[in-house]
Amino acid sequence: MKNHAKNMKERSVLLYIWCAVVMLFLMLPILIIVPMSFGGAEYLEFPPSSLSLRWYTAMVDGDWMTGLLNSIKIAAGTVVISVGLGTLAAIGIKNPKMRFGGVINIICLLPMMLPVVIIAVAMYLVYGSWKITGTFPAIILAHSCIAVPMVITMMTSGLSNVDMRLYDAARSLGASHMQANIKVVLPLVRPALFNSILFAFVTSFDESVISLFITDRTTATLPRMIFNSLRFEISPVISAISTLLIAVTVLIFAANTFLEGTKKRIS
Amino acid sequence: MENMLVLEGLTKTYGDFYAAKNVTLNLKEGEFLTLLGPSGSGKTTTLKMVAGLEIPTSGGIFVHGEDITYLPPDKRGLGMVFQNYALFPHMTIKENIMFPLKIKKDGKRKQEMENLAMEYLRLVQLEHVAERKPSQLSGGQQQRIALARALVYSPPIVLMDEPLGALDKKLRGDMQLEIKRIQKKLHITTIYVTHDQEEALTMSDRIAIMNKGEIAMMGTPDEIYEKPNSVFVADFIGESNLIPVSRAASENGALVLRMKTKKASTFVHRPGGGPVTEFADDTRFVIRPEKMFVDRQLGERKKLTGKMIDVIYLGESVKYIILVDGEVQLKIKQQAIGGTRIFKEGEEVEIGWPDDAGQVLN
Repeated sequence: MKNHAKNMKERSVLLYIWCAVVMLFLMLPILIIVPMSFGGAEYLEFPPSSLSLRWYTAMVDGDWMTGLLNSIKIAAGTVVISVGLGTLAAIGIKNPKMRFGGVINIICLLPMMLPVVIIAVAMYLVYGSWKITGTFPAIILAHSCIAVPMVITMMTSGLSNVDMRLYDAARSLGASHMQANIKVVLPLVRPALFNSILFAFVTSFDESVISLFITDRTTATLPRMIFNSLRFEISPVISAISTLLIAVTVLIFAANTFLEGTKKRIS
Repeated sequence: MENMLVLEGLTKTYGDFYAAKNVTLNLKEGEFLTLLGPSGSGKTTTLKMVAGLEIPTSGGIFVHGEDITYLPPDKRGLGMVFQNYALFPHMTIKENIMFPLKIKKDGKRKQEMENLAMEYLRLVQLEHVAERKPSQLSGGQQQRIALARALVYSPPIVLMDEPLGALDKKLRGDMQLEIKRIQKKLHITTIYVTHDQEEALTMSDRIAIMNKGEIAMMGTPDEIYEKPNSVFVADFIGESNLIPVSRAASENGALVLRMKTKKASTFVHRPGGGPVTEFADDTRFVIRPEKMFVDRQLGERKKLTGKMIDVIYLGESVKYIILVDGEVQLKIKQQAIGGTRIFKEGEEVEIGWPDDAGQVLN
């Protein structure tokens, strides 16, 4: 008995070490960026030989802030459109009275299966002929195109956990279709809705391929600017920007995890 | 009295399948009607059509003479209680009960709504759980809250879809009385769906027995039990002996029936005023086990002889299984007053029953 317990303990220690190694493997490339951004040299070096904030100053002074603002505008627009459409689509797909729910679901998920480059080329050609290339609405639509399938996936799985008889109950108690969805169904899928917003935002914020094809100077997003600058020189400014992005992402997800955690404790 | 609710030839088909077929019934104000049947008999489909959660293929639904067949559920103003309670998990008990009041927006103040919610919580004797969430309540408590929520806006008709289906037997008994008490007190017109015949007999003013989407029989609990109109109803409600018979002779209003066995024993039956059934291939003589008696010697009262094959002691009664003509097993149930009669297995016994007990049915 004792031997068994000892074995278990040894095994769990090994497991912890294994997990740590995997985490390190995944995180190290990202974590290396952070100290590099505080380097004082003209080029990227690790470990940095001197410390300074000069690249952060360079970041704030340059065009980078415009790019950041563009990225945020486009991501926000993408959230509004993709979460709106995706949530409605998920409610429709999950409706038991909907006849072709499964087929519609697959059609909606198609953009996720296509290589982004193909979507980007297609967008470039179509937007070119419509003469809307480089405008904010065009980029928001393009990003929504790849964000909608993600929202649908998350919302349909969220809705699967909701007992749809609650919808029937709400209707029988006098709620209209809209009221039943807003007052009963949506509050019950709040975690999925929250994640959808988050992932839609990050999808757009992260997106570089489509942006390379269809943004212009005035609407260039941060990833596009990074890409462009990398073509000519590898400036440590990029590591400063990356550090900023990492910090923002970590904060958002940490806040999400924290909120969910407190919610669970309350209920 | 005027009919409160009328269903007229209500039919619902899925392809070739009839989920409900030509369902016609009337409900008077304050009446408690139960749709009773095996699963898949169309009782829940019928209820859902009344609630507006299913759209009928044909037929009509009328409340106070007004056609509501195609009205959406929220415009019908009926109350509904679901088997799984269907309380909103993200709201407190009080918020759940206030939900229909808030949605209605008939100018009630918040305080008024809260008072009304508390009044109905008192009605189901659960005032103390007002601020809790549904998940903190037991199944029986949740169902009482669901009932309060379905009643709080004073709907003219309340529909209940197997509301006690998820509760254990003891609790069901208590809840049956509770629901009945509230239903009588508030004089609520009710359609109740269940597959539990005991529940139906205890609670209902009238029962509609459903089979394969159709109403097989409609009547008061004692009509259904005492005078079933078909072999299906007799077999579904309570216990029955179903003896395949043909007509041997008829004399002065009495029938001589012949059992469809090799030995072909006959016995006399005097139809008790009811319609005489046309004899067909599957005609049965139907008789309840408790209407029959058994002894070693019955003299004049003897109708059939058989062999005792089992004696089962049930507490308040004793059940005998007797083989007649070496082929047909009959069940006889007798009160166990003053101890059981001792019969040996394999013993020859005589069986009898009053001439007018039992029925010839198809």
